[in-house]
Amino acid sequence: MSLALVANTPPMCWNASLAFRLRGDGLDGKSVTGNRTDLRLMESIKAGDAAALETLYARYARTVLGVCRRILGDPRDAEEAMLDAFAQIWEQGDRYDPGRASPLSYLMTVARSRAIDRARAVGRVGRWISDEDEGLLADLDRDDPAPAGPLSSLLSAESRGVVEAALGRLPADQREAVELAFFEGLSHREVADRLAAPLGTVKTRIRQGLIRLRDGLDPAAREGAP
Amino acid sequence: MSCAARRDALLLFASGLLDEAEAAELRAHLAGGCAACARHLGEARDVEAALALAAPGPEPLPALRAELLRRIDRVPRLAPRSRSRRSWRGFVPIALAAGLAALLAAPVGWLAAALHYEARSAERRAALAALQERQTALEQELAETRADHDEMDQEIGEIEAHSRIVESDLERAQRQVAMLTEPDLVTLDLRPTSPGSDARARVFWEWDDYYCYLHAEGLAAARAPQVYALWLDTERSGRILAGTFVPEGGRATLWVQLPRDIGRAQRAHVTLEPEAPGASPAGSIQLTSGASRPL
Repeated sequence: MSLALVANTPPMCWNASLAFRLRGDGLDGKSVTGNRTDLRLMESIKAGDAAALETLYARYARTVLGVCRRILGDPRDAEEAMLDAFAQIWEQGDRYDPGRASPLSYLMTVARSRAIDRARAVGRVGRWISDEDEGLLADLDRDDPAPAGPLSSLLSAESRGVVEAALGRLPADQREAVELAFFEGLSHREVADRLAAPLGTVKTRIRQGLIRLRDGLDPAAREGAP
Repeated sequence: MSCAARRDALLLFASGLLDEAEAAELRAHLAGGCAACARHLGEARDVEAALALAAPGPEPLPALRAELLRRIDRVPRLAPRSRSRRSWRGFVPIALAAGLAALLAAPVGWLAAALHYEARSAERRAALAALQERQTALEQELAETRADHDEMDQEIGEIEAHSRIVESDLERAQRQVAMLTEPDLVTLDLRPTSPGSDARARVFWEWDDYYCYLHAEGLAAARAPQVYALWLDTERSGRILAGTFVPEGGRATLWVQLPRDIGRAQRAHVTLEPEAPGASPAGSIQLTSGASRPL
């Protein structure tokens, strides 16, 4: 039912030449199509279509749960935070602006905020950013928000394989450091202890790994690469 | 630091991994309104979202989807918020401030215009200067009132978020109490598989709404990413995963709503999984039960 409702919404305009450029080993046409699906779902949610929220949940519940578990640790608290996040998407659907972030980025920002709220409520100490920085990233209430970048128009559930491939192309030491920092939520110091490597080396590996990953996902950066 | 270097630093900033000195420099720079760095902040947010795609959590239990639908059915959608952060909550103080400013500014503006075109005497020029000074003071007062309102709006938002959490926890506790006082509650005692273990657990369930509650004690600590998992041997679906938990001080509880198509559960087992489990157990059985019996 959800998909049928989504299919009835008018197609959104998009740049066909962009899709052509994206062929290759980076974010591809499938990712672009997935992003369009997400945009339609957000439009339907904004209009009060609960079936669209169910579809969004089916596409991203595991991703959101992963983020919440890394922040909260406790599986039940993570489940509650995940529900909080999707409920907020429903309640405040009108606050999403497709010109400022992809649906996935928006959902991840909301999920992280709800998980941090719950972590603070249960007294869990962890690595997360300050309220001030969270506000900068959430970008929800600014009158002059930053426009969405090229990645925003490409990210979707269909991009998972592409991101995994980009991670796989990182040098092993960078990939290991990035995965510990992001997939296990460790601080620089904790990553250094885990790898028995100097702190400075670990910082460099994570920074270089993220730069390579960003450039590996961004079609414009790949085209400009030597 | 150049904006090119800031672009790289923003990748760490978005994840809370940037050193405070660099983060402070970035905040100040962003506050200065650099459009390129604002774009790159969005890009960093996208990279973090992409990483989240590559590390999904376990498949959520089916009951969570039902819980989400119940929540959105119960919670009304909020009225649309304006982009200028003037929500309904702040309408009254802002309306009062705006009304005050309008009442005072309108005659000020009219008199200023009149005096500008007609004044010839020094007295009128002095009056004009005084009125302009008054207008500036009012504008400043209005700006401060709006800033106060923004701050209060943010605090209210945080309180609302916290109250949603408390409300949700309270509702869960009420349901657990209601379930444990049901007359047709069924229970299973779980015993350790290792002879030297002091671990024990009891599973309760109530078949009207298919709620299941586990209480366990004496469990060894789970070291991340290890988790304990509760498995049920059911009539129609075979062995299913009911949920996962991490004990604190050896004690743990788990409360889940089971899918209705599984039939009754006949046996229960607790395993220690090396990581978030899939469809079948990968870890060893720590506790296991006999058959169900009425209380």
